[in-house]
Amino acid sequence: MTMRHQGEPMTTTDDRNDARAESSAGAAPGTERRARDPKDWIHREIKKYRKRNDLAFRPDAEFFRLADPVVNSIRTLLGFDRLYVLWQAVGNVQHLDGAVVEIGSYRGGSAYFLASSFLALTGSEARIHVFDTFEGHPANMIGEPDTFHRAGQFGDTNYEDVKAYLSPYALLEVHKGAVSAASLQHLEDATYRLLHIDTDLYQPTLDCLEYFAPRMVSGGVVVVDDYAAPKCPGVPKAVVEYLANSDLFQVWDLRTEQLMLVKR
Amino acid sequence: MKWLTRLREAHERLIRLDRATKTTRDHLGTIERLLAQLDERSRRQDEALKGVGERLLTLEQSLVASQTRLGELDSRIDANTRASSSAHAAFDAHFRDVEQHLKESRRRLKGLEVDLGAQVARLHTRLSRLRAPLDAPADQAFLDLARPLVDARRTLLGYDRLYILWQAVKNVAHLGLPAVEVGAFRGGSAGLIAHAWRAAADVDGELHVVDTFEGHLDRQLSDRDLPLQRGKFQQTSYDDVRSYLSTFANVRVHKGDATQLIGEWPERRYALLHLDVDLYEPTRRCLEYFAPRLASGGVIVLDDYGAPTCPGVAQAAGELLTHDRSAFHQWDTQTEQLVLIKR
Repeated sequence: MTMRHQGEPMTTTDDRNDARAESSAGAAPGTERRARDPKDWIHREIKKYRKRNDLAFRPDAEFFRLADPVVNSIRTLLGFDRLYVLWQAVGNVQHLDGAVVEIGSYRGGSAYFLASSFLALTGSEARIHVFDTFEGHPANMIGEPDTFHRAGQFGDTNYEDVKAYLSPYALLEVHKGAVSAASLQHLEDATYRLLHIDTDLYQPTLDCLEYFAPRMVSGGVVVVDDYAAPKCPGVPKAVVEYLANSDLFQVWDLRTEQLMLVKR
Repeated sequence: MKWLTRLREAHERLIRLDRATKTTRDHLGTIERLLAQLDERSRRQDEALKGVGERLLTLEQSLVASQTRLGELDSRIDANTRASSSAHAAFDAHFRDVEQHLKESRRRLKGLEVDLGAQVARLHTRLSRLRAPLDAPADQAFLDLARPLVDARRTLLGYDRLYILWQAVKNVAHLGLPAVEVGAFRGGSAGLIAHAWRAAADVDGELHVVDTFEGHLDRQLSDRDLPLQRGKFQQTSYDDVRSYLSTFANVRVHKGDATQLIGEWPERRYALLHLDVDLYEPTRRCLEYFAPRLASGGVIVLDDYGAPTCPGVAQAAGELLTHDRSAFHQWDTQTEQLVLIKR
């Protein structure tokens, strides 16, 4: 039966794909479609599991209940595969103490997904900090390693709009402004259990790792987005640089272009 | 005087007679009238009778007509009944035929399904071998190591799964505890573990490699596994794998049923378990044994978690682990592997 799924014709692209294509416009020409494309991924990986209710494993209906509206709202550029990693991260840190942070929330889709996942899995809200400039990449943040990024990219978002979108979650705080070693000092939480870094850029990624790493609780998880994305060479550079001087984490490079760090 | 009296009497009689006659005449008149009335009535009745007769006649005619039609209908019904009963018989026969066909097709389909399952599994294996190496910036060291293993068909794992295994070794090598692989087939993945260990820790880690080297044992199969698993993975040999892994001083190759062998092993802690047995029973038994013996920070890589051909693996993991994340981090790496990290 698996063969039929694989042979199934692809449906035509929609807005979501267009949004994605736009975001990866900087990628090298000839780069093939990646697994992050939700349609691809559904067809290749997830679709078969949706139909197999007899198996006591993933991706469960609860995941799709939360992920479907977020993906369809075009409020995130993450596909189902990456949201599924976040979903598992939430599951794996649900027993731990500490706050949750997302750096680079764009239109708030993944933040909403994180908040609703915590609510669904633990029955209560988690304390979540959401950061974005809401004006796209700041010009002074784009360093030499960030070959393909330009100032203002991902600026088609709006602070008020995202704040309103995330307002159902009382413990979720939206912070407007660029993230730097200095600005992070204003955070009051002592410990963190989950960190989602999706800045695409070298300097803020490195700053976040250096600030949060010692503050993560044991068993806490860091998910670095676009670690293996060819269009974001600054991200792996920052991560490799940080990990060269740190053995605080287990390191897992996932096929979803995300890097997952588990605090020892 | 006498005659006068007589005359008077006669006169009186005459008068009486006259009166009587008059009465009689009246009566006669009445009778005549009545007769006339009777006549009239009988005439009318005659007329009515005549109408009734006519109507009776028409009724009779229509009755005859109805009877004729009834007869026709009867014969048509007869004809129809005959036709339908013969059709029914034909239908019955056809139905039995179809049922027979269906039964046969179902039998064939079942056979095909088993064949197809095996083919799909083979194709999957081939596909994973053909698949281009990872597009991630994976270590060049990994690719240099994995390529010859995959090319030599020492393992059925593709690059994606081998990369997870490689990372598992890198994450646990510093623990200084032994690793175990159950389900080694031709020793490719064991070779990768040993190489990765050497690369990560600059020492040869202790690695125990277990396989029946006779494929799946019949008694290990349960109704939770697909029948196509019977007798798989026999194309390997103990001596071949042992000589292949002999370059590593700390690798031990054990031949036998893991669920029995582990009972004789000394009590100790482990850093890594690569569990690739495809079947429910040994997966469950090995998880039960190794989960509590894994060191904190140790890793279990459970292969074929979610693979359509190995439903028993996911079931065993589901029964033992997935409801409780307090002992293990659980990561479905989307490579049909489950990575368990002991807290």
